[in-house]
Amino acid sequence: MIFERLSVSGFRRFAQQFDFTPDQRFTVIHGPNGTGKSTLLDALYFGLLERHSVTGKDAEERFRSLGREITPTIEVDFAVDTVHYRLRKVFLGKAKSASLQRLESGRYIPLKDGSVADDFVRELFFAKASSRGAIDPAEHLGFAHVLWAPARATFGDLPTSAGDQIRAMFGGSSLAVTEGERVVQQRAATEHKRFFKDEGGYTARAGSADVPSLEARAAAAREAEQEAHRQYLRLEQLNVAYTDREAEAERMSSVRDELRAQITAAKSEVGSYNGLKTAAERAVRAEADAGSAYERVTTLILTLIASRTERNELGAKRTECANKLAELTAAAAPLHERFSKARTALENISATIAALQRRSRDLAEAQSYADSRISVERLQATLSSHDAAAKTLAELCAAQSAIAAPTRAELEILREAAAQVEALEATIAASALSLEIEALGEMTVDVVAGETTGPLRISAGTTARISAANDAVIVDIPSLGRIRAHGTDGAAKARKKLQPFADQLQAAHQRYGSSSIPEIAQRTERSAELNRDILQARTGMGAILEGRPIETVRELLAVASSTVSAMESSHPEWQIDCPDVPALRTAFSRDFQHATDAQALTQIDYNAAETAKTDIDAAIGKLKALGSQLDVRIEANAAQLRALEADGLEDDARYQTEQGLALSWNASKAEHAKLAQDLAIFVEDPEIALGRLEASERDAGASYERALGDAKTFRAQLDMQANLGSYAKLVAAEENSVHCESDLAAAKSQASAIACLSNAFERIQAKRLASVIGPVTSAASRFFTRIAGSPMGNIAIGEGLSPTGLIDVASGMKLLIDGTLSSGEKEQIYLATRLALAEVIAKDRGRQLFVVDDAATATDPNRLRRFVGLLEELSRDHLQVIVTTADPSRYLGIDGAKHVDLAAALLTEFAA
Amino acid sequence: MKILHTADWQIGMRAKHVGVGGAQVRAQRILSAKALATVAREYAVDAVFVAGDVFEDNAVDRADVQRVIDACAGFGVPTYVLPGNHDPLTTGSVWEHGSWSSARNVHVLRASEPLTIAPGVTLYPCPALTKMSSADPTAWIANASAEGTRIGIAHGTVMNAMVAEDCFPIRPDAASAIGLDYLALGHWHSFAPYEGDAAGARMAYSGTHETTKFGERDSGNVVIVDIPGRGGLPQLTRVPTGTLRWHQLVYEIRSTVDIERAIREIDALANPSQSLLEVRLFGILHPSQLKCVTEFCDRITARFTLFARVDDSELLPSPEGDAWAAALPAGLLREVACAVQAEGSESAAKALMLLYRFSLESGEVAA
Repeated sequence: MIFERLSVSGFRRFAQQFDFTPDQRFTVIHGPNGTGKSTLLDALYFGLLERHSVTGKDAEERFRSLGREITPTIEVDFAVDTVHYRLRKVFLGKAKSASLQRLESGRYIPLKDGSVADDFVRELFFAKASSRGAIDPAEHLGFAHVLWAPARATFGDLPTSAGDQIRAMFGGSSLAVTEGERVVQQRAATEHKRFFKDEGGYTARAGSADVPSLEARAAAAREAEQEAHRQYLRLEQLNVAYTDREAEAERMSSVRDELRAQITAAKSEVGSYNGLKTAAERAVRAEADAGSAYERVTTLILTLIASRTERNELGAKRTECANKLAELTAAAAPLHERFSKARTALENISATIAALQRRSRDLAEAQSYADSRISVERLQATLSSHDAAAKTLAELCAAQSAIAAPTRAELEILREAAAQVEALEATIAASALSLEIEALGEMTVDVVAGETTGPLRISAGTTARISAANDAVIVDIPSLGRIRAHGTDGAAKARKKLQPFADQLQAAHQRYGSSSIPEIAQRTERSAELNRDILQARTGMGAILEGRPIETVRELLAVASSTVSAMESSHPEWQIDCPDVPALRTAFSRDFQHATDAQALTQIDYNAAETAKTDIDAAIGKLKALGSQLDVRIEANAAQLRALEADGLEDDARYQTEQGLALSWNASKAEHAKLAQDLAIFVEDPEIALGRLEASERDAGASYERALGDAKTFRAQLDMQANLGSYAKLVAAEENSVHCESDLAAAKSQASAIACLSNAFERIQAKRLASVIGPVTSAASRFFTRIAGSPMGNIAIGEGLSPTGLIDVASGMKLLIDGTLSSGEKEQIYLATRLALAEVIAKDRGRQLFVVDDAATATDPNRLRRFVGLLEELSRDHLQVIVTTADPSRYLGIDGAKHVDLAAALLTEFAA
Repeated sequence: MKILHTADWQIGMRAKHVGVGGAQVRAQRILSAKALATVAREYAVDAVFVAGDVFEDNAVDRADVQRVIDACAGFGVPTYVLPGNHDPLTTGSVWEHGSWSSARNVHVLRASEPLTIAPGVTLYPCPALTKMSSADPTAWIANASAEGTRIGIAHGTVMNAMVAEDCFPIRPDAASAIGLDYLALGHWHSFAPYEGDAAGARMAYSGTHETTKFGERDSGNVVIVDIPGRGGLPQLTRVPTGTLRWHQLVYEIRSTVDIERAIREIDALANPSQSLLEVRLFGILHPSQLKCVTEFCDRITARFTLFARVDDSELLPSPEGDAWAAALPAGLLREVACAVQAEGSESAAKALMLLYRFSLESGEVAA
C-alpha cells in the first residue's frame, strides 16, 4: 500500500483541517517537540485501521482534541497496486461513518461504507478488528505492527494472522497443524511433562511412581541391600572370629598342658641343682680356709728366712762402713793444711793488687792536673787576643759614627732628585720672558707670576723691565685695554714639580753638609769601607773565641783554674814540679802486670786445695749417714726376728706344719672341682628356667581364658546376629532392590521413549520454523551488519517473528534482547528486523508504507547515517518511507527526499 | 535297601530373579521338603539321604533350620543329612543348631568315616567342611574297607568334558572306582545318573526337590534308589515333588496370528497361581499388532500373579517400508514418525509405538 494524502480535522491538536501529501518514496517530517508529528501519524493509522464506530473512554482520549467536542474526521488517499482509494472516516458522536471510494476515470466512485469499508482496509494489512474499544497495537495492526516503528522501535510477536501470512509468503512448509496433530502433540507433551520438568531433569510428584521416586526407592533399596550385606558380612566376620578364637583357645590349652608337664620336670631338677650348689659353696669355703692356713705358715717361714738373711747382710755392711770412715778421716788432715796455706797466699796477693789500684787513682789524678794546667794557659791566651781585637773594633765604630752619609739607596734618590731639578730648571729657564714697558703716563702693571708679583706701578715716562720667570704679565692700559704676555707653556707646571726635588736636595744639604752629589757619594763610599772593617773585626773576635761566648770562655778558665788550685793544695809538690804523667804510667803498668800474674797462680793452687778438701769432707759425711741408716735397719730387723720367732717353734716344727696344711688344701680343691663339674651339667639355673616356664604357663592360661572368653563373646554375638535374621534380610533386600531397579529401568525406558518422541516433535517443529525464520534472520542480520558497519552476529528471530537476541557467530553464545545489549544495539536490531519483514511483505505485495516515528534516537550518528542510507536504498524499490524527527539534520542529504517543516506547514495551512 | 535320595533343598534360597515373588518361592521349598514324608511312606524307604546344600547358607534364619529339622523328623525313617558347599560343616554353621540332636531319626553326617546304618550296610559320608575345595571329597573312601553294601553320599561336581567346575570334583566313575554300590550325589539341581541310565545307575544327582530358577532341565524330583545289595545295580525311580512351575517361553511374532497362538498356549498352562512365567517376544511388530501385544502383556500380568515377565525388547517395529509412518496421516505426525524411526534405538522403537498409540487414541489413525 502506498499512502498518497492525509486530511485530518478535529483530531487532537489538529482541530482545524490539515492536509498532508507525502513523497512517494521518502518523506521527512520535522518540527520541534509538540508540533504534532506523531499525532499526524496516529491520524494516518487510526484512519486506516481503526473501526469508525469505535467507542469508549479510551477512544475519546485518543481522538478528541482536549476539551473540545469537534468530530474527528480523517481522510486518507492510498493506492494498492495501481488502484487508488480514498477512505474517509468520521469518529465518535452521531456523525461517525466510514466510506471507501475508488478512483476511476479521474473521479472517486463510492465503493464500500461502514464496517465493510473498515474491514476492506484492515484486510490489506491482515489486521483483525477489535471487538470493542480502541485498537491494540499488538492484536489489531496486522502488518502495521512491523511497518510502523514507534520510538525505540521495539515490537512483540506478530499477531497470528499476520504472522501466518508472512510465513506463507516464503512458500515453504507451514507451521500450521491440524487439530488431530495438535492433540497428539499435546498428548506427547503431557506425557513428557509427566516424566520431565521444563528446566530439565525428571519430574517428581508426591505419591506417584515417577522416575525420581523410583530412583529414590531404588537407592534406598540399594542402601538397604548394602546394609543387609554389611550385617551379613558382620555375621560372617563373627563366624570367622568365633572359629578363630575357638581354635586359639584349643591351641592355648594344649600349650598350657605341655608347659605344666615341663614345669613338673623342672621342679625336680631344681632340687638336685640346689643340693649340688650348697655342697659346692661349702667346698669353696673349705678350700679357701685351707689355702689361707697354708699361705700363712708358708709366708712365716719365708719371711723368717729373709729376715735372717737381711740381718747378716746389714751387719757386714755396717762393719765395712766403719772401716771406710776411719780411712777417710786419716786422709783428710793434709788436705786441710794445704788448703789453709793456699788461702793465705791468695789473701797476700790480693792486698798487693789493692795497693796497685790506689796507685792507679793517683796516676789518673796527676793526668787530670796536667790537663787542667794546659787548659788554663790556653784560655788565658784566648782572652788576651780577644781583648786586643775588641779595642780595634771600638776604634772602627767610633770612626764610622763620625761620618754622616746616606745609604746607597738614599744616594740614588738624591741623584735622581738632582737630575730632576736640573731638567725642570732648564724648562723654567726656557719659558722666561723679557718685557720692557715704557710708561708715558703713570701706569700699573699687574704681574701675575714670577719674581715680581702684584701690581707694579710704573711712573710716567718710566721704562719698566719685566723678565725672567714670570709666568705672565698683564699690562692694563686704561681706556685702551690690557696686554697679557706669557712665556712658553709648562713653566708653571715645571715650577710646581721642581719644588719637592729642591726640598730633597735642601734636606740633604742640611744633613750631609753638601748638596753635591759627588761629595755625598764620596761620604757614602767611606762609610761603607768602615762598615766592612767593623764586620771583619767582629768576625775575627768570633774566631778567637771559637764560636763560644766570652762569658763561657771566662767560666771555663775559672773552672780550670779552680781545679788546678784544688789539686795543688793536695799535691803541693806539683806546684813546684809538674808530675811526669807518662813516666808514672809506664811504671804502674809494669808493677800491675806482675801482681795480676802472681794472683792467677795463687788462685789455681787455692782452687785445687779447696776441691780436695771439700770432696773428702763429703765422703766422710756420706759414710756417717750410711752408718746411721744401717743402725736403724739393724734395729728393725732385730725387732722383726723377735716377732717372727715369737711362736717359740723350731724351724723343723714349722716345716712339718706347712706340709700338713698343703695336703689339706689339695683335698679341698679336688672336692670343689668335682662339685663344679656336677653343676656344669646344668646349662642354666633350673630355678630361672622354672620361672620362665611358670610365666609361660600363666601366659598360656591367660591366653586360653581370653580366647575362650572371646569365643564365648563372639558366639553370643554370632547367635544374636543370626537371630536378627541377617541372611533373610539380605535375601529380602536383594530381591527388593532387583524389583526396584526393574521398576526404575521400566520407568526410565518409558521416559526415554517419551523423551525421544518429544525431541522428535521439537526437532520437526524447529525444522519447520527454521524454513520460515531463516530468511528473515538472514535479512535482519544483514541489515544489522549494514547499520553497525561490521558483523555483530546473527539476530535470533522467535516463532512470533520478533527478535529474541543476538547470537555471536564465533562462540554461538546468545545475548538476550532484554539482556546485556545496549539501548542503541537493541533499537538497531528491532529496526533491522522490521526492515527485513517489510522487505518480505513488499516483495510479496508491492511497495509498502514504512513509518519511522522518531525511532532512532538511541543510535549514534555514524550508525544512523548508515541506517538512513539503508532506508533510502529500500525506498527505491520496496518501501515508501516516512520519517518524523525533531532534528532534521539527522536526515539531510537523502536524494529526492521531501522534507516537511510541520510547524511552518501548519502556520501556512492555518493562515490560509 | 531302599532309600529316598534328595539334595539341594536350598532352604532360604535367594530368589532375586523373581523379585517380590521370592518369599513365596522360599516358603514353598520348605513345604515341598516336608511333603517328602509322604513320598517316603509311599515308597516305604528304609532311609532318606539328603546329599548336601539343605540350606542356601549357614546364616539362614534359625527358624528355617528348625523347620527343616521338623520336616526331617517327620520322615519317620533314618534320615542322613550331609553338609554341602552352601552349608559346610564349620563352626557356627547351621549344624550347630541344638535341635539336630533332638530329632532321633536325623543324623547329620559330620565326619568322613564309615558309618553302619543297617546290618551289612555301610555309609561313606563325604561332608563339605569348606565352601570351596579342589579336593575329591570321595577320595578317602578308597582306603576304607568294609563288607556288605557300601553306599556313599557326597556333594560336589562330577567332572566331565562339559563341566569345568572344580568345586569338590568327583570322578565320573567314582562309585566303581572306590567300590561303592551307590553314590548319592548333590550339587547339581537337575537329575543326572552316572554309570548307568535313568533306570539304573551306580551314582546319580537326584536334583533339587523344587525347581530353583527358570531353565533348569530336570529339577523338582527325588529319586527312590533300590539297592539290591553288594554288587547289584541300584534301580532308580524319579518321583516328581516340585509344586511350582517355572515356565520360560519364547515366541517369534510375525503377525497377530503368532500372538494369538502364544495367548492360547499360555492360557492352557495349568495352575497359574503356582507358576512363574517368563515370556520373551522377538520379531517384527506391525502397527496393527500393537494393540494385540499390549493386551497380551496385560493378560499375562493379570493371570500369573506369582511372577510374570514379558520381555518385548527384541520386538521391533517393522524396519522395512514405511509401515509405521505410512499408517499415520501425512503432516506433522508422519514427519515425527520418520524422525523417530530414523534413530533406530530401542527407545525410538518404543517412542514410535507410543506415537502410534497416541494417534490411535486421538483418532488420527483408525483402530
